[in-house]
Amino acid sequence: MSDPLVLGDRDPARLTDRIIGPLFSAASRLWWVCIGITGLGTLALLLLLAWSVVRGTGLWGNNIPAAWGFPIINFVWWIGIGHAGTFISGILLLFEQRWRNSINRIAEAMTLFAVVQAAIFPLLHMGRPWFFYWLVPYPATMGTWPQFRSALPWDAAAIATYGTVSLLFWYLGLLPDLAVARDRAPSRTLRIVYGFFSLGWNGSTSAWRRFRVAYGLLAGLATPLVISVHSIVSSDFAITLAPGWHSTIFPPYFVAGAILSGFAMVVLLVLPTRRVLGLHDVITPRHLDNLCKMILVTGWFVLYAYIVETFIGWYSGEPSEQYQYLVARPFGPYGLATWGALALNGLTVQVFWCRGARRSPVIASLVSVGVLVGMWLERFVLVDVSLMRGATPSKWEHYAPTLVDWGIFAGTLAFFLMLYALFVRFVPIVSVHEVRELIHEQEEEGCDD
Amino acid sequence: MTDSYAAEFEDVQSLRHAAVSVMSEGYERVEAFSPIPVDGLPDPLSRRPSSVTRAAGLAALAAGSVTYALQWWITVRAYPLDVGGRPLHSWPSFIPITFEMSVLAAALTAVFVTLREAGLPKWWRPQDAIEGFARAGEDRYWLWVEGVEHERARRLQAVLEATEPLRIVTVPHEEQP
Repeated sequence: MSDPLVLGDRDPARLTDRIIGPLFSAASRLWWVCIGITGLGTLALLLLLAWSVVRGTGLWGNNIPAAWGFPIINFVWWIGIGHAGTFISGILLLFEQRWRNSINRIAEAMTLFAVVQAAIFPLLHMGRPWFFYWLVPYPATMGTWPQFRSALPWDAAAIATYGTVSLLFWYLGLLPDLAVARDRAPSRTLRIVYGFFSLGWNGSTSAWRRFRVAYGLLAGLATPLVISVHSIVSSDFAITLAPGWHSTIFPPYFVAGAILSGFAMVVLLVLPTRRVLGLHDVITPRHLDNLCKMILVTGWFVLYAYIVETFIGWYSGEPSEQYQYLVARPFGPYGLATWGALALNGLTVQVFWCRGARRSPVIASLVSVGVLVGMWLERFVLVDVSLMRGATPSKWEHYAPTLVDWGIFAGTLAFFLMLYALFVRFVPIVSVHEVRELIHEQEEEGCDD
Repeated sequence: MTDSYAAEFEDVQSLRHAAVSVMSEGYERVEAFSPIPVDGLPDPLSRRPSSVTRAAGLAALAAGSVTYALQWWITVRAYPLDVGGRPLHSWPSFIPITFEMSVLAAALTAVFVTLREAGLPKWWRPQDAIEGFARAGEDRYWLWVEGVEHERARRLQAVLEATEPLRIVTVPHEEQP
């Protein structure tokens, strides 16, 4: 029998206190420390971005043939992390998985912030980001138009859509909670701010009814998006002839890896948030258990993809593919990254077969960190080892990132965490109305799960 | 002259009961307010079915058609490029953007139509004049009967009182011009 999803105190007013209350209390010293560190990191990111734009892409390790380098690795990694939010809010809503209700807000916010980081990289990678609008069809005086037979305009459309729909979904779900924050706000200024963003939500039956229809509809629209965005990103690789890229397995392989890394990031954000804000009643061991099960399942998808792509690489009989999978990746200069990805994405997640490991915050956090590192290594190998070891040895060239590459990557981590810290401080981080609805439904049905 | 009446209830069951009693008396401008969506409540607008899904579907269709047509026109007519002898109208490569733009249009339409139909944004309503009405966002359930003529007021109060609300509040009603 499964555990309850809401523990302890179920009184609606006190529940609201615990979730909305922290918005209006003085910020803790810990929060200021977090904002200070991540703020400095964000500042460093801005400086490095400015430097890269002014001086040019020569500051990075990118070369020919490895023209994609860090920007595309980081882009794929961040957009992948963004997938868990929409998965939790869209797919799990359609499947009526009630456990999503207390973590969906955090996961959706994480998606938005990850998409922001992801969007930085392709723009930056253009080298002249001020020409980004060339991706959009517009009547240029030069008479040129975008080339839709390339996957890159697909990317632009997919990411713009994904970011917008995620934002709409998140904001729509926030309306009732922003109204509660408005009604609880201790000062006139806060009342006006929360009141403005709540759009005057007042919980009337007609509003609720329409809210529900729209929320379900957006979930239905977001669901194919989860699948499509990373499928399109994978097409950037799959429609190219580089060894290790030209494969039909890529769309599902990328989507599974994306959800894997996204769930790992959710675990890493939810656990400290729960601890600091004392939300153990609404984010329970059962939530952690389910998140870890998702990591285990998607970990198996990824492991299966590793096995199949290596087998097909050998079975194709194509020398450059065979060399790529059997020599360059496992025993090349970045062999350690290949083995690291295999170990961290495919093997360590197997501890989640044990119930105890799934419910242990320490083990779950460690494995999740491993998954995030492992998924990054996987993208590193995929992007750069394939480019370093092209179809003919005349194209072979070594790739090594520079300090600026590492700095920009670390800077996006700081920026991401800063956005998350601001979110925790100013937005209700648990969907109050959905948890309340859950409690209400359980009381009417007389059951706990 | 008319007034509006608001009655506050402790729980969902009382609210449902009161809503049904008031509706059966023939009052039509009735609205309920609750912290969670509650089934079986009267909705004065429910006679006008929501057009959210239809609007979203039409928007998706329109955006998809326009996007596909634009890609065709650009690739085949405005800027034809021979890429390894492939056909200019290489339709499979037009599908991803067509799909994405359809979803984008549907989502934007769904949200805007929903807000419009729910009467949002609207930052002030007559109910906001009631002290403590905001608890409808937390743990109280309110029933609102609008535009009650003075001759029927006593009858309505009797009906409401029979449903044992926590309190009944009268708000002078101003007809919208």
